[in-house]
Amino acid sequence: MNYFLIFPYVELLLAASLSLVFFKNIRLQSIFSFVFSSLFVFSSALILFKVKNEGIQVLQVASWPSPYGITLVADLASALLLLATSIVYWAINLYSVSYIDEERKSKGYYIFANLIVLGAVGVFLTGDIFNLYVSFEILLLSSFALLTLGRSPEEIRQAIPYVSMNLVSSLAFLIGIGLIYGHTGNLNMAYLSSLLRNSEWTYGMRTASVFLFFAFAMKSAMFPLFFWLPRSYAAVPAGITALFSCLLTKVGVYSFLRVFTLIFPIVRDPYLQGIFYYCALLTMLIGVLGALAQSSLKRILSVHIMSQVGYMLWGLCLFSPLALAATIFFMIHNMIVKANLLLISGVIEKSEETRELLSLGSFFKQQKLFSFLFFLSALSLSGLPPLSGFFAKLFLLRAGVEFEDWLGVGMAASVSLMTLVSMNKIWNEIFLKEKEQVLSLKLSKAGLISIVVLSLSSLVFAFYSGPIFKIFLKAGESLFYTNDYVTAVLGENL
Amino acid sequence: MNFYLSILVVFFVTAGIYCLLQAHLLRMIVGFILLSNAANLILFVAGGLGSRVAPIVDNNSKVLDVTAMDPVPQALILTAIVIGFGMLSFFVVLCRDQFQKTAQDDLKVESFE
Repeated sequence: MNYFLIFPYVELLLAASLSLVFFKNIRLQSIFSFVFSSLFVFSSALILFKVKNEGIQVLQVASWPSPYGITLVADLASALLLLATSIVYWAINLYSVSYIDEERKSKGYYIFANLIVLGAVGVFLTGDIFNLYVSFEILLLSSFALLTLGRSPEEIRQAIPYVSMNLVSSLAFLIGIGLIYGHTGNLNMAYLSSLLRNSEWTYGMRTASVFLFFAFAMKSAMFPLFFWLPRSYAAVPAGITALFSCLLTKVGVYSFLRVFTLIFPIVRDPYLQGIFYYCALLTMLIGVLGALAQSSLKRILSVHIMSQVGYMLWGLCLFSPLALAATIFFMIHNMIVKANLLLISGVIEKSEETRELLSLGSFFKQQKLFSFLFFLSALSLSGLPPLSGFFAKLFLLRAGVEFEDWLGVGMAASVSLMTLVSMNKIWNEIFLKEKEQVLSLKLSKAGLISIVVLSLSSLVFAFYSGPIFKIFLKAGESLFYTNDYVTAVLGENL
Repeated sequence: MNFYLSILVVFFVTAGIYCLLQAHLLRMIVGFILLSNAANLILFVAGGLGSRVAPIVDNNSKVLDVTAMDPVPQALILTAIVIGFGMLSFFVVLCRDQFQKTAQDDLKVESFE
């Protein structure tokens, strides 16, 4: 039995519940969160190590055999994402010691931060689709709470569309699950995969796939359904935005990756694939155009998230082992770099108490090291050569060229140029522009460590991208050829 | 029975979406109640409503009677109701906060200011 698969759940749940017990003692809560998030990093590294060496790891909870019991599964894709999540969460935890205000902490910031990561872990490790739904709800409910912790009119105003759109998408998800259960009598993903692999889809299953498509599209902020994202992300402090950007949309993309490779392989439904393809390209384009139009630091960064989601969805739509591997690589690169940029923007915001680009300036002259850290991440996000973003985009483009999908390749390349323009806008306004007043950068040690750790992990990604990408290629293969997953979960006999 | 319930689901979804699109706090709450009930009913119909035998294995046999009701949808619905209720109560509190801060329950009016 692979009991270590349950470790991440236990650690995060312990951190959240101990924070609830010591609700008045914020210092103790931060210590708990730090200790358990460090343990979380180790246990996800352990899971990745085991999966890499011994293949897909499966835990049948309480020894109920699959497909009747609850199954936890870790394959390479989910283990890699788990490790990236744990590293980013560790850094954000460290960062929030000095950059999340006391008021939010006293209202239970640490509880909800742990629970939102717990929801993401549930999504990554679950083996059946109903638990996917339950984990989503844990994630969403804690994100609602984090969004409204400050209870300012602005936050509440932005929370209403966010909450209502996500409730609708959850209900669509639930209806999809109901239809799947009605047609197959089971909700285990591996079982559904083996059941549907050789049979024609009935109308009921097609309807179910469309419902799931709608639900995931809304959660991952795909083109026509992204309206909840930019404003609600910009309304909260940068630490929480970094947590959101690393978890919410990426979890939506992961569900796409899991469900639309395993249960409903997207290539089997050319009509849905066509919709998916054009929506992905438009997400890319509109995200970056939206970012170009913004004039506040955090707005630019949060609107950019959508553009990046477009890349990931395009990668899934191409549907080959290389494209899927590149998608996961892109997701992890993006989690790290985007979180880092948002943390840096939080530091700037805290020191200058404004988000508007026009009122900032002269950072480069006065803060060389800090500016360099931003420079590194910004170039990595727009995909310049020696950095991780370059390799992420390179692998994706290579997959696109293999399919001779010139429209997609052209779009991806030009969007990445526009990303560079919008990063340039930040750089010119905040760092290069001359300004009279003396800056007082409030960069605490914990904040500096978290930013440096994230920058370093992005650099490791860049300099060892060759060997690392081999692991990702295996992950892409295991997503593409679902046999391994199905036999690992169900055993040989089914 | 299935047919009538399906009609009810259609009615609930239509009414729920209509209420949501009003962008009016109280109507949105009603819309969510209707929509979440519709989703629960779909789970219920999916399990099949034909049988009236309780899914309990009696003393003389080892396996469940084939005519018995499928117990899984009921467990799923129970979970979905609990989650839906939690979400809804959060939403109600959010609406109350919004109303207290702006004294206005029409979201469209506020956005013009």
